[in-house]
Amino acid sequence: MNIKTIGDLRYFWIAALVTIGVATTIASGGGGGSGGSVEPPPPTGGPTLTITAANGTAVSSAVLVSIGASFDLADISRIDLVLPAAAGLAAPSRSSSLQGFGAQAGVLANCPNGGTVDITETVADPTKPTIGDRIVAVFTECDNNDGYVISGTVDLTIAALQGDPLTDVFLVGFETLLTDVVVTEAPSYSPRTATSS
Amino acid sequence: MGGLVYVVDRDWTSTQFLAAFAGLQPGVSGLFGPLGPVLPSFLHAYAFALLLILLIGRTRRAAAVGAGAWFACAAALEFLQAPSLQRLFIDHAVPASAAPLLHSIQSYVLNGHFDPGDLVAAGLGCAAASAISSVREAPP
Repeated sequence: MNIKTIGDLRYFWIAALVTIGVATTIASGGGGGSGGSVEPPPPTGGPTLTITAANGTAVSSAVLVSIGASFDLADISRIDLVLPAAAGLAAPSRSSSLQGFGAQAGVLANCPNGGTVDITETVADPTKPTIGDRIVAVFTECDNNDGYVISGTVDLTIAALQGDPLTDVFLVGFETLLTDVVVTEAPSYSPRTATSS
Repeated sequence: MGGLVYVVDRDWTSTQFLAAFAGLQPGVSGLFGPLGPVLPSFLHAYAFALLLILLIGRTRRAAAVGAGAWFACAAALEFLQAPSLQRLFIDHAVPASAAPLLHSIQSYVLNGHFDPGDLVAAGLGCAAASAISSVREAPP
C-alpha cells in the first residue's frame, strides 16, 4: 500500500513538473531569443545604425515595433486591423493613442508632445483589410509620449491576408517601405537611434 | 539566472509575464551578450530535465530517460512555433473569451519564431543534466 502510494505520488509530481515546465515556457514566450515577436537590430555601439542589406529586415522590423509602440496601426489605417501584439494577441479594438490626434486620411495632425503626422490611406473597403490597401504616414518629429520620437515616411501596403478578418486573430502581411525614417528614444530612455534611407 | 536574462536583456513587451510591466522597463542592457538569446532555453531545459531525472529515479537509465523525455517536450514546444503550425492556429483561432488557456497557447505559437538555436540549447541543457546526474550517481 505504501509502495503504491509512493508510486502514485511520484507520477503526480512528474505530471506537476511537466505542467509547470510547459507553462513557464509558454509564459516566457519560448525561452530563446526567438521568443519575442520581433528580433531587435544588432547592437551598434554608437548612437546611429547604418542600414545594410544584411540588417535591413531586422531594422525595418524594429522600426515598425517602435512605431507600433506609439501608434496602433489599426487606428492609422482606420481599419479594424488586429495585429499580433508583442506578447499576446491584440483585441479588436482601437487604442486611444491616435484617437487623440483625430487623425483622418490625408489630414495633418499634431502629436501630443510635439511634431506632426500626416496620414494618407487608400483602402478598398473601410470595414476590413484588403490586399492592396495602402497606408502612408509621414512623421515629422512626432512624439506621442510613448518613449519614441519618429520622423520620416512609412509606407505600408497589405500584401497578404490569412484567416478571417472578422475574428480577433488573423495574419496580415505588409510590404513596408521606410524612407528617411529616424526613430529616437525619448530623453527619459537610454539613447539609441536607428536611421533608414 | 534565466529570469534575470528576461529582466535585463529582453524587451519586456515580448514576454507574457513581463508585458504588463513593460512601461517600467529602464532599458535593455545586453548584459549577457551573445549568450542572451539562448541562455534561458539552456537553463530551463537543464533545470527541468534535472528535476525530472530526480523524480524518475537515481539511476543512469533514469538520467537518460528523464533528459530524453524533457528534450522531447522542449522540442515539441519549439516546433509549435514553426510557420506551418502557426498557419494552422490562425485558421482555427479562438477568442480569449472563449478559451483563455488555449488563447495563451495561441499567443505563444503565433508570436514566437521557430529557432533551431533554441533546440540546440535545449538539447545541450538536457545532455548536461543527464551527464551531471550520471556523475553524481557513479559509484565511488
